[in-house]
Amino acid sequence: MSEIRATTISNAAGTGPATLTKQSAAKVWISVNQTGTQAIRNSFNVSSITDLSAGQTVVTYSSAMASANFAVVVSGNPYNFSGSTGGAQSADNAQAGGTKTASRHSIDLRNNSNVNTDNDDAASAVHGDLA
Amino acid sequence: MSNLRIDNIAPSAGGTYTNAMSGLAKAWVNFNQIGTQAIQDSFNISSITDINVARTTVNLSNNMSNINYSSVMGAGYNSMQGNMGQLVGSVGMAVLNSSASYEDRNDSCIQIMGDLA
Repeated sequence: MSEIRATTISNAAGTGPATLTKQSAAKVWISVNQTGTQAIRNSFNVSSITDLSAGQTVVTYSSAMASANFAVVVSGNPYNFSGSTGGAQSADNAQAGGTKTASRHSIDLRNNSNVNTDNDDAASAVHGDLA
Repeated sequence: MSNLRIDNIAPSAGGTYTNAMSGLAKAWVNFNQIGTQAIQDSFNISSITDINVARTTVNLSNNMSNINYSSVMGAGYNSMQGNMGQLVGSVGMAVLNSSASYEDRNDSCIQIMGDLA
């Protein structure tokens, strides 16, 4: 087994991220408790969240992505959707203040009656290239 | 160019070692289903196939080792996403609107975690 202990890994020039052969590291991930006062449970490369409305959270990054064409996936705790086993999930909120940009996206969670509903484990991950 | 081959990594201050491979995505894609379906950005994706309205097969450049990988999805505003089935070299994605009808969306995204073949 080989092991490396390091605080930062960068490319050979020391100016950017190292290329990972046949794999890609998430550039942002977050778990949010939307119930009550919305709070970050755990995160990476997230500077802040904004409570838009029930079930809706804007996630703002510490370091921006290169463009808005990154891939973002979302999920929520299905047991938070009353009377349902799952809910509609949207990663790109078109409402004012929630538009996806290189430095943010929004989580939009709804129940199966299409009603935005707070979730205690709203999670999301972003893949792509940092600016 | 310099290359590293390692199995585990850990903070310099100590702490738990992490497998350098298992927590990394092996593929991801952002595509637009509206009009002529098109990839907007991707990693380890060879192509997408427009199956029908709001239904897309995403094909991998490098296969996964088996079909038991994790695929997580997201799509544009007010939609829900479903996995139509996955093979070692592809995964199918369907997008429904709030009325549970197939409807094309922009920013349709998939993240795949697991082991490459």
